[in-house]
Amino acid sequence: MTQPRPARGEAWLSALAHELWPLASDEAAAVVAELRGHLAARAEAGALDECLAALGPPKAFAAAYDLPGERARTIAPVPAGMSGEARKTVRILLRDTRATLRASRNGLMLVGALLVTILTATDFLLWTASRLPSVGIAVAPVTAIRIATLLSALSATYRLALSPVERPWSVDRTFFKFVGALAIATALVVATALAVGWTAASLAHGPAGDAIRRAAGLAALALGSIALLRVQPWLAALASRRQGFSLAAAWRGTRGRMATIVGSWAVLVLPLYLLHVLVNLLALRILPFDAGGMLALAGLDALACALILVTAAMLNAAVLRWILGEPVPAPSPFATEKPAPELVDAARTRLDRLLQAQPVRAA
Amino acid sequence: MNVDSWQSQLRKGAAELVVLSLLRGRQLYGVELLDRAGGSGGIVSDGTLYPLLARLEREGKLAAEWLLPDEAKIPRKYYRLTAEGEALVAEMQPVWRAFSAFVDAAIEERKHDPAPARPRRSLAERARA
Repeated sequence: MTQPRPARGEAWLSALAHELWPLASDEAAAVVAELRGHLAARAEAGALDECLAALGPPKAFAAAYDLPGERARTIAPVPAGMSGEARKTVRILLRDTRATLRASRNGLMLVGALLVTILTATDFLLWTASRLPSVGIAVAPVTAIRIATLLSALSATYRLALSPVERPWSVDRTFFKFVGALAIATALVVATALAVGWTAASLAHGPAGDAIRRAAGLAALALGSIALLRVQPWLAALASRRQGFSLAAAWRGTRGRMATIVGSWAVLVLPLYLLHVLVNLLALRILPFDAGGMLALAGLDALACALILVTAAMLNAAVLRWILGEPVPAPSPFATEKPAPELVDAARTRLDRLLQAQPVRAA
Repeated sequence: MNVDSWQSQLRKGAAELVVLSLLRGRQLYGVELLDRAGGSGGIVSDGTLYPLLARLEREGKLAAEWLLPDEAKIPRKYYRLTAEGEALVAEMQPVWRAFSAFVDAAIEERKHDPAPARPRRSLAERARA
């Protein structure tokens, strides 16, 4: 497994791995591993070029694996001990995050639509309250609606990504457990950052005290945020009702992978977060208040926030699957499976009631 | 239809039987299968073997196991027939033999009887008669 691999063969395999996205991640990995062995054998025999020509373009080759039809079983996955692929790179986590998005159940568009609508409205109201206090907008209910929407959307996103059966929008015990755990974890991080900052400031005397307090507070916040990232897979498991996955398991499972996880956040989430900060700066500090312009900025900010939430949830779901050693399932957008009979019955009953309530039109 | 496309159709139909027959009573990995099918006139090639193996595995005709033999540097995926695969190949082989014998006989018959066949009447002509 440590022998040098021919670059042309690896380039072909890399393109093949990219084209195999319709398969579950473990099946795609098994196909690539098998072909890697094949190319190595042909390269040893000095026939790599002929072999690559016979295999054809990766796209066409990959298409041959995505045949509709009977699937009594899945392709045997490569055992963990034999997998030559390093599992701890940002590139692989990004690939699994994208696969997680593709494999999520229908409903993410609804999450996005709801987020953009509510966040645009609440952004606009909160900015107006800040810039034009004379209008008298009550900030507390607007903020409450905003937080409730974000929490419901996050819970729904985890359920759509990680559970084949959980109803995404149910406000049940699982939802409240998830919200409670998220609130406690976030409050702990913020409180620790504040405590560290104030302690540092009390120890440092003179005009430098304020700067030291800020620096210490920021450092504590950064470390706390990294700790919060380690907790995220547990929160994802909690939201999607995955029994038996403890906080300790999340903590242990992310050990040695934090550089990859933080790197992936920096690539995927940080640019969106910076956009969110920039838009808020423009709206609250820099641009003159203009209703039309503010509404457009609010829409942009809402889009950025929705993308932050969905992207972060996909990343956390992918990390949870890494820890559990669970493959990312094959994509199933616009799934054609029949809905559960009880759901169909409930929908029929509602439809009948609606139809009965409608006035009968005269011919 | 040109000969190439006809030959391609023939290969597709026969590849499954070749692979299943080669795996009767033993387990082989991809390169071994290709080497053994080397004289198959291109029925099984590098480009067609692996997707075919994956399909047969998904259909439950083959079972696969990853092994790392002493002489190998990269893990190999060994395939063997399942009971379902055994039953299928046992059914396919006589069908193929009969098919092949029939085609051979038809070709041989035309060789020995070069007289032109009587032109057939169309359905419309028959109806008029």
